[in-house]
Amino acid sequence: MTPGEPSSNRASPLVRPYVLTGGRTADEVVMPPETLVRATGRSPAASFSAPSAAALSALREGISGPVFEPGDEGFAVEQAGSFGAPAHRPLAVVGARTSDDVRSAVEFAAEHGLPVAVQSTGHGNLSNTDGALLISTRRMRRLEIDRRQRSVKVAAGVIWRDVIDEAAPYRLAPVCGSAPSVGVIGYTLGGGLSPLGRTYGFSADYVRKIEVVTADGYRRLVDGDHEPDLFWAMRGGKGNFGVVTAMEFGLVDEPELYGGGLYYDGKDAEAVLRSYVRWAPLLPATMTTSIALLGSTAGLQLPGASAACPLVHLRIAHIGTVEQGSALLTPMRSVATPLLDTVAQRPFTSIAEVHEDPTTPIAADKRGGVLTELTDDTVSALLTTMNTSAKPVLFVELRQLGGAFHRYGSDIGSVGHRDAAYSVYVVSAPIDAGSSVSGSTRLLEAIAPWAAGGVPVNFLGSANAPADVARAWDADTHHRLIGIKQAWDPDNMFRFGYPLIAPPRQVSPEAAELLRRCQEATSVAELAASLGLPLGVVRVLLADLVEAGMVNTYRFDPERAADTQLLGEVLDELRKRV
Amino acid sequence: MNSASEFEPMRGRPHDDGEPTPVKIVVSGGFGVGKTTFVGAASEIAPVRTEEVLTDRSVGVDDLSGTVDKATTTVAMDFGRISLREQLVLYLFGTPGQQRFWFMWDDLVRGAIGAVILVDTRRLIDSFPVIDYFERTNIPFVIAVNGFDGDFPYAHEHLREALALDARRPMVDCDARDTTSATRTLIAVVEHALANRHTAAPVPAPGRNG
Ligand SMILES: Cc1cc2nc3c(=O)[nH]c(=O)nc-3n(C[C@H](O)[C@H](O)[C@H](O)COP(=O)(O)OP(=O)(O)OC[C@H]3O[C@@H](n4cnc5c(N)ncnc54)[C@H](O)[C@@H]3O)c2cc1C
Ligand SMILES: Nc1nc2c(ncn2[C@@H]2O[C@H](COP(=O)(O)OP(=O)(O)OP(=O)(O)O)[C@@H](O)[C@H]2O)c(=O)[nH]1
Ligand SMILES: [Mg+2]
Repeated sequence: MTPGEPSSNRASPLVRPYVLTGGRTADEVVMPPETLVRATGRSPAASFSAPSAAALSALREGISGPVFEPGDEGFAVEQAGSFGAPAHRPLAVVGARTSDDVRSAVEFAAEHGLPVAVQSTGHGNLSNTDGALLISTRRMRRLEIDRRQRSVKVAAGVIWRDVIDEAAPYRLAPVCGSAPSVGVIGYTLGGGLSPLGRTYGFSADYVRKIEVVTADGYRRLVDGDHEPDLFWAMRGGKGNFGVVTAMEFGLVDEPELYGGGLYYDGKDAEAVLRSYVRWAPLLPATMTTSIALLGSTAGLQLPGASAACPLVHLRIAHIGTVEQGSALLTPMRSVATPLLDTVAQRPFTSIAEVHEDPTTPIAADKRGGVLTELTDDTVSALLTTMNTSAKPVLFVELRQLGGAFHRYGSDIGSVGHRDAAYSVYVVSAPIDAGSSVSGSTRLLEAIAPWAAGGVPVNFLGSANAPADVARAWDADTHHRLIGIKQAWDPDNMFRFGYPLIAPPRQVSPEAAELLRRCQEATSVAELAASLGLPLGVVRVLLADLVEAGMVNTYRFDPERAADTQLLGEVLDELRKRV
Repeated sequence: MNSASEFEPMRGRPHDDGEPTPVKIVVSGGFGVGKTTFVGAASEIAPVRTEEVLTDRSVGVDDLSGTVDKATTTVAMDFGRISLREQLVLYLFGTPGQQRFWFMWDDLVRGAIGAVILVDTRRLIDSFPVIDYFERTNIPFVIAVNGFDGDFPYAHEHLREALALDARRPMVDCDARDTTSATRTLIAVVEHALANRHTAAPVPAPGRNG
């Protein structure tokens, strides 16, 4: 070896022998030995001991509603919710009746270091809540309409059906979702893509006030003047910031609804979709449409003989007169003869007829996205995948955005991808053991050329990891949301249902020891020496901790080695020492 | 949880004490020249030794337990610390002795604000490869003559010539065992770094034969 040649031995066969679980080697972790490391305050997954029986019975006493533990009668019902969430196994379920119950439950969770999950209807498919305290809000169904303010205040468990029916006598209506059985809060926290959205915008745009119990156990009323950051974050940031106990939002004058659906035979699918591609972009904002491909006719009552799949289901919600609405719809009525046409003038209370969403859950893989445009080629890609995929895609839905969905403004929340042209939501059979991709993943891959890379948070479906969740916003919005999350919920108490940050990880005993030793900023070299571990090992352990958000590292920027001011400071300090 | 409190505190906001800055100076030189002694004298903590394990193949972190195979080599580095002020810490690193591991030196010197090269006048030849190495980097360095037992028998110009050093290369006498002397040497390094900050190009060196 020739001494004196920097880097000359990079080709040396010698390596630092340690490899991260993810396959990264110690040499790839850029962390010079003087790098300072400091714990962020995020703790590793506590090997928390479940609260004692005594603690749980104290909780029962403090709650006006019932508390269920696994094995208790009623546990399964409460856990499943009205929509039948898949089985998961929280430590206990608090059947909250009041916002005080919610606060007591959150306080209890904070005291015992428990994560908290929330469920109202189960439409959100909560899963893997093992060890969490589940707050079930379905008993909190109070709502109050304020006719003068044209607003409604709803408690945590209210569903759209409740608001639609209560508002109707006042000739008011909520900007609601497609299925009245969906919970108002869970839906609205995710922005809320309404079947009236091109006319009225996102449901979250109507929120005026939120009452929320945050991770510190306090109940707060947030709005544009009180904790405006939190208020902004909660209008689109999903359930990351606390348990909402009540929400106040504006209503609209009861719309003159001309709506319903057109079902077409699969043999017309290509023609119908190609017309839709041309027709939809020309529509005024008074009409909101979506189009779905159904992989099976099961559960549908269609006149006539067996129809070919995929069936096409065009959904229409026009706000205005029948004449205007039917004139707009003419091209789609004539492209092919629908098997069924339910589009008609109808009371707003029958808004569910527009989408005719399923009312029972299916175990499936669900994924979403947003498209920048829809073309004939997109249609071909969709149909090819639907028809040739070995794992049948059960359902694809394209919702047309634009119109009031595009609304921007300083008073608007954190809803992502407002400028997209279409949202897409796909349901397929669950991934089976033999394969790593589902039909829905495959379909989204097929239409990737027209995708914007994002997804509405309410349409994330089965993609529940923070990396997936990040795709629900542009990078700046996501960054701001993470900052607010870290300020309000540093321990990630609310980590279920599209968490912004990863749940705390289990860490090895060495990493736990590292964490204990870097509460104050400490160098990598000192950590290695004090633990008696090689530098390479410490580097990889730290890289994992950095990724888990548990430590920050402060590297010296080599550019600053020539920084006169810095060198001057170092010099002054050294001179004081002689 | 204290719900009786009148104000609504933000519990556990991530602490933000500002960003600490680690700066480092590398202490180098030939075998047995006093590097460890120097780092220990300058440092506010007892000199600490950290180790890097090298091998010709990769193993997982999980298989650390005892399966260190024969091809494994341990390389030791000394380091010390001087807390200059809040958020500004100076680290001293002694380069590992065995010269097979130059590539580890690259990691060490990257981002250093300067370096001390200790020389023992009785064994000048040992410092040739080290000086060569540093001349090829952009790191400002000074030559520190470690006068074992206060012995400085050679004038600097003689040493300069023997070491084939540029006339501008700073050279100081030091006692590696003495805190003040070691600190003065570090001061010379930083002074040189400040003076040198415009001349980014390495100082060309005349030939040097080991
Ligand atoms: C049939 C169907 C139709 C749908 N239609 C639409 C649609 O038109 N537009 C649209 O945007 N989305 C739609 N969705 C998606 C729906 O908005 C989300 O699944 C939403 O999370 C359901 O809320 P939930 O309260 O009913 O469900 P739950 O499963 O009870 O809750 C889901 C999640 O919401 C959060 N959450 C609920 N309540 C609270 C609370 N009080 N405090 C804090 N967090 C809470 C939690 O993270 C919880 O895990 C639909 C879903 C289904 C199944
Ligand atoms: N008398 C005297 N002894 C010294 C001085 N500096 C170092 N020594 C001694 O010289 C020997 C080597 O010093 P170290 O500091 O270990 O030298 P090193 O450069 O770290 O050595 P290696 O790491 O083995 O290359 C030790 O026994 C020291 O005590 C000095 O200034 N005077
Ligand atoms: Mg030594």
